Amino acid sequence: METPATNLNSKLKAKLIAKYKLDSKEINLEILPVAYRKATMNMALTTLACEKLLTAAAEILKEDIAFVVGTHFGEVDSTLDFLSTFYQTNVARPTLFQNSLHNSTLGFSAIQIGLTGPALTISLSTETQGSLGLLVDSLLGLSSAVLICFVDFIPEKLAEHYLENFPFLKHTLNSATAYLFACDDVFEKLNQPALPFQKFF
Amino acid sequence: MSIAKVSGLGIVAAGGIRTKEALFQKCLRSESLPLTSGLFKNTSSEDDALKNLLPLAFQDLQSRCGLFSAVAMNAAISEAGWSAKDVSDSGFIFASTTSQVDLWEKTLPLYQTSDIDAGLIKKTALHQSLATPANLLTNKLNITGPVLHIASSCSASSQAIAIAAEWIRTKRVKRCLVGSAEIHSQLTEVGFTSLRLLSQTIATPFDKNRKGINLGEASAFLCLEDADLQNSLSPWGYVRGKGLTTDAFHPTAPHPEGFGSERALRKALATANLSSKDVDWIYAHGTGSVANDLSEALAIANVFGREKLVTSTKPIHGHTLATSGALESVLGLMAMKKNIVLPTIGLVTQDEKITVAVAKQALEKEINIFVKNSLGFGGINVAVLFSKQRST
Repeated sequence: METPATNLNSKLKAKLIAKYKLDSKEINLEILPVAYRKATMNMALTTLACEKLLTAAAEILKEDIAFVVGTHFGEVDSTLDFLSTFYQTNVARPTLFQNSLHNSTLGFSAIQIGLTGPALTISLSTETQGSLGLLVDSLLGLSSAVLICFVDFIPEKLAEHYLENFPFLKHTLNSATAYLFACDDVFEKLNQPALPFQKFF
Repeated sequence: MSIAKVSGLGIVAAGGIRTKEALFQKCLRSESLPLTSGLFKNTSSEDDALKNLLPLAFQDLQSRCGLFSAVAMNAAISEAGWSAKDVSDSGFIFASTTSQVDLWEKTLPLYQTSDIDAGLIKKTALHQSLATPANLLTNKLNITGPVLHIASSCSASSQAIAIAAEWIRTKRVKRCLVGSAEIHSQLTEVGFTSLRLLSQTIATPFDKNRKGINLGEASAFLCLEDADLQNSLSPWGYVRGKGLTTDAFHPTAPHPEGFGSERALRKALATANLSSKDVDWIYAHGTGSVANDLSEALAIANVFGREKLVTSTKPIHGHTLATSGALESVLGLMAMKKNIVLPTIGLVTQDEKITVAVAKQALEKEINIFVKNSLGFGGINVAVLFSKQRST
């Protein structure tokens, strides 16, 4: 059953249901289930953090959840692996290319979790991160809940260079932080208090 | 409730295309841009020509992505008649999957070598975040409204149009600039080749013998504004509905039965309070890949039946990835204004599994509503409904 436009409430205000942060140090890619065989660290961080968070809202249909992955550098580890391999051997590895795409993190997590609602990958920077609250509110006009996950894992050798250019990342690099928001109707059904929420960063 | 009208359009594309009219004429004449090794591509000398079209404030843009964007953006803003304050107060949503890749793809991977040049790595890392062009353009235009960069594969700019329309519908902004740019890179070319998706000849969407896609380069911008704002110009059209869904099926292939795309099309109709009968023309994603065209055609047939005319213009300008939704929305709005269904060139023998009515030639037809459909890697589906009139 589709949601007619007349039922969409333009005055929805996002309420935070749950938040969860996962650090790359807590994950060993080698021992994850077989579904993670081709997963990057970004994919594993995002999927595991979001799965954990959704246990707080099992009542919400997966097709009613908008999913946003916010990332500054995307799958930079896979991208650089793909390019390096190609430059050194002249062989282009399709799996590395597939994993190198910015949107591949979201695609992997959507498959693992079964999310079929609106889904967007957002690239973040100083100018764009302030608009995310507005994006969440807007997506609540198209779905009942919004799951948003910030993730950035980069190769260790590059960390210093990235942090010098983007110092505000020092508390979030190599981790995923997921937030689950809901509209008023869903929130009331969940029967739990809203978490305090000021801003994403 | 507000509705978004489209008041300005701008395009830059490969092969020296610097105006939307030039590309639209190519469509009407069923002409492809020059193709080399599966790519519709600009030469570097054309970058200098583009630079000459720009105001001084934009002359320092280093990336082809920035140049393409600035020219298309200025054309759209100029056509919309927005003042500097209008632009400054507007929102801005930019879409790209590679952004300034030309500034880092050759140097950043050097970090793995033993003779690492830390200075060079640091400098190129600065350009790798996809949001850098959005930031650059935001600063040059002094935009103070909300800014987003969407990187959701080939559906990204269609998502940008949908979100901008939602911001206007809910009165978060009065105006929103939506744009996208995608340039060629070795990363993209080699990557698509590795997936065996690149056709060395002109793509033939919906054809039984289609062999894959051609990659294009382009930037496209749309100025969206609240339809209640006074503007002496006649708008190109209105954003009436939008549907966004995800397949959750495969990293790069669409759902074989088009379920996700079908749901997006149905949602677009529902948000517009319209039925499939109200739609006059379907502007498909139509990449020319075996999987996309079959999946998309099934979705279209399930929602609209087999009679509605369907077009893909990708054999003319190539698949411009994240930009394709915005680029084709611009062409679609121009076609709607002129009541012309654009052609799908190169179709000889339609795939018998594809049962929709593909328009092979440009046709005169009253178009009051059309849908721009998009699919992307990661299973991202978007449908945007445009109408000629504010209400029907």
